[in-house]
Amino acid sequence: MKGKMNFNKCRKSKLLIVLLLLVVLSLPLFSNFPDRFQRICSGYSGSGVHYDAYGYISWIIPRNWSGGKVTFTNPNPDYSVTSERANHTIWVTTGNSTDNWVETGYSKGWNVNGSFDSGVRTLYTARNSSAQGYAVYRVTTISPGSPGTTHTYEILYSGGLWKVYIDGSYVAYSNQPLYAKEIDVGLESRNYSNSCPRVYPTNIQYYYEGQGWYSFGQANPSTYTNNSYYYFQFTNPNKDSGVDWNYFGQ
Amino acid sequence: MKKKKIILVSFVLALIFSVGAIMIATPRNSKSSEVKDLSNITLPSHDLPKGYFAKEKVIEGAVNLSKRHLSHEQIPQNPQCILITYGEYLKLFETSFASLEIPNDKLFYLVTVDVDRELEERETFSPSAERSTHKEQFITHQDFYLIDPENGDVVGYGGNVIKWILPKQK
Repeated sequence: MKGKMNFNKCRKSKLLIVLLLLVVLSLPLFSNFPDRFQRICSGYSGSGVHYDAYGYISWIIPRNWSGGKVTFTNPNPDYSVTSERANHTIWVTTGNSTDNWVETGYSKGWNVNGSFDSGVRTLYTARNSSAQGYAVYRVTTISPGSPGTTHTYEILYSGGLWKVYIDGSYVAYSNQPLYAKEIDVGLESRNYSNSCPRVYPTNIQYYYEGQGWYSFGQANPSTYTNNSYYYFQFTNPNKDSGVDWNYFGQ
Repeated sequence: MKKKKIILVSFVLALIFSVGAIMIATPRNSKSSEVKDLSNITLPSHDLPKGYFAKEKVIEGAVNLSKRHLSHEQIPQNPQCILITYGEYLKLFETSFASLEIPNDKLFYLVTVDVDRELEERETFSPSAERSTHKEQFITHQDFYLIDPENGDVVGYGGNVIKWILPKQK
């Protein structure tokens, strides 16, 4: 009887040690937890989070995509930006990678005199390079126009450069390498407090080198609900070209 | 037997506390950054008309902008500022992108502020980056601002992977 009790005690202490070891081994998982949580569900210091709604096309088997374009109608009513900025944008990745890209679009809100002016409306271009980082530049020569005005944004590789066109005007270029692995179209905001009730991308296309432009999606205007979720209903009629459209991200 | 158990449990507890302490003490943004020193270059000085924004004012604004979206109590450091033409900026810094609408002789303040940012701490990124499984690729180590001295507008901004030490100015 006493021997059995000792055996049970010994088992208990072994179990305790195993449990403690499990706690130690699982600590690295928990150390990452706050980051993951912030990225998905919460903001930094309560300041809100980055979120977006977008559709995209991408390839698995390499394809020689060398451009993308979209027609966006300026939001009407305009985005109501209370914090920093909200933008609708086309992103064309470069160098057969999703880590580098060129983008262009419309922004409500911009840096002015050391702080964000949420009332500024402007068109812009940007690039990201895994070697250099990211850079965003204001387009000052083309007026964004009033709410409801339509602009066509195009990024097309030609003559060794990714050329950015807005309404057919050549505004910027990047010397990043070919090809596009993914093309995204959508909305981006840095804060949930911004209200972006309408996003109108139409005429969404990608350029297949040597072949021409292909349509890759039809987007219904997003719907806005009180919990700030944005929903894009996209269809991809060209099944050969890659992935179907997705809905919002947050 | 009992002594052995006490020693074993104490050892495990000590291990838990020491591992935990190391994890807490290790700063999240401790990844090293490459530095490119251009301080051996001396750029010509430029005079600005009266009423234009002063250097001190734009540095203050840039540092304020760099305080946004930082987690883990990071403090922006080492602000640097030079007055540079767009042409010089393209030649020395922005080698992969150019705006066609800015004249090469247009003057800007280029301000850099050392600050480490992970993808989620950036002002902007792309849907493809958001879905990326290797987000460490997007860490930047220095904010930059291209500011129009005439009206204080930030014409360009972003984050550099390489930390630049800016050229000197006469």
